[in-house]
Amino acid sequence: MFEKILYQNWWRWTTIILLLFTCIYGFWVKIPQLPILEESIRNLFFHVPMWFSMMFLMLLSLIFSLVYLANFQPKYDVYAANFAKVGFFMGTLGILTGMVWAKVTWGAWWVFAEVKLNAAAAALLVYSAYFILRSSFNDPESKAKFSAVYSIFAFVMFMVLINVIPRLATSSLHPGNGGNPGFNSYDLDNHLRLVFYPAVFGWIGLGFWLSSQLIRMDFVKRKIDDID
Amino acid sequence: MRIDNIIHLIRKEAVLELRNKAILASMLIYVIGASFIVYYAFQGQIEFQVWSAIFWIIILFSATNIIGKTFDKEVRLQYYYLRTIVSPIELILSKLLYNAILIFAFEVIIFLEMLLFFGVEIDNLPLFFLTLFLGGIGFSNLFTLFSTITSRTGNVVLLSVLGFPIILPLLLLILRLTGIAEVDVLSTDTDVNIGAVIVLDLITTVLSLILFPYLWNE
Amino acid sequence: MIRIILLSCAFMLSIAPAMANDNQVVNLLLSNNKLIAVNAILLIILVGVFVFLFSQDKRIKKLEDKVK
Repeated sequence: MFEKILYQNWWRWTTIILLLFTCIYGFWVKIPQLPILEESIRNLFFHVPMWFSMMFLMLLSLIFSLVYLANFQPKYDVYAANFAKVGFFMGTLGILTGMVWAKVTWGAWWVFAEVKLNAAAAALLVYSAYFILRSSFNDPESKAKFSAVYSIFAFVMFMVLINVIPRLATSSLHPGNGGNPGFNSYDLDNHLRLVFYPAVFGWIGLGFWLSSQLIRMDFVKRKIDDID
Repeated sequence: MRIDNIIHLIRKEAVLELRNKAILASMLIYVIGASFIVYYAFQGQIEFQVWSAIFWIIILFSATNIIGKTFDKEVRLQYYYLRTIVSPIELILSKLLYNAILIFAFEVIIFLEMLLFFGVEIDNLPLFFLTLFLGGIGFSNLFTLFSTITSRTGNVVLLSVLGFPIILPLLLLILRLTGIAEVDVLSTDTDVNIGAVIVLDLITTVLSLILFPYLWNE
Repeated sequence: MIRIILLSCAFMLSIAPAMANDNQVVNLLLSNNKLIAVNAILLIILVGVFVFLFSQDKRIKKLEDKVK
């Protein structure tokens, strides 16, 4: 059933519409007047959805790792690996957009006092270890099995790093962490929401699109190599 | 799962370790040498924050070395023999327990040395030892499972590559707890942090127990 | 297909100024056309990405048919 979705077009068109909407209205929409943030709050439509997209793709990767461990069909390993790849890419984009934002509002590209930033970087390291692990096996079956096990750990720690550690921290510059109020409480007004939610789904769709192509390419490669 | 099986397995580990004293002794010298180098590099003067960071880093590196060879000890044939007599859960539980004990012992040794060299004062010793204990369990859980993964690849660096980023949340919490233990102020953070470490330990234990059978049925 | 994308682009852009507010910075950028230029460049990049993705899709489809 899942394989069919990869070949359907409706979500491609939805993604296109949503992203066009985001990229046009993101620059025009009425924003709340906030000190320091000012116009840079428009990065909310790019930086935050990148992380949502990464979380979504990593969740898919985790689900397919679990499915792989349940029935050991090689195609689920292909899904898990490629969703993780694109998720990593989205996370890198999230870090880059975050760095630009940090330069504008906090005055530096990289801030140590910022727990969430460093935790996110560590989360990317966790997943880069996943790719290194995948590349160090020769036998495809044990590669799939061992990396599925590791990816479960990786996801748990990813969630701890992104969602738990920043909230435990005593000081943080991100909204909603280290005692700061979240975006919801004061400034995510309805105009922002109007663009923010389409942006989230748009970027998730783009991530899904990229991974669908990687997955289909992998299937073609496997057919050519006569693995299946 | 039978308790006496686990105890037998742990005893077997200990006997194997003691029979080959060279490894144990080399780990001991490794630890002493590491703290001695730190002592010289800092000229014997060090702030507590730096002390605790270095203390945990030494533990981290020795833990990778100690646990990295957990599954090298089993020779191939013996491994097949073990499979016929114990269940995977018993095996992984015995390994986790044995490694936790071993790491705790090394932690105490490192602590005594660093205490001797730098003469730090820790106000809340019970909390500090609780941190050592919980940290040791966490290290042992993560590195034991990963060493089963890496022992199949023959890539020596892989254990550090897999382990270090994943150990980071635990390390952050432990460092905070160590800081709290030094100046014995009544901090509201203490309970939250201890709880978080315990939850992390539990998660890693449960994941190890669930996932090890998959790795073992090769 | 590209025509549909471009059309929807043009449509959205045409109502975009209605979303703008009395914000000073937006007005300033509007008055010297900087905002429009930035937005146009971003859209060109985005449309380029979509076109690239669709062409990739087509090439993969061709490969899949060949392998079958």
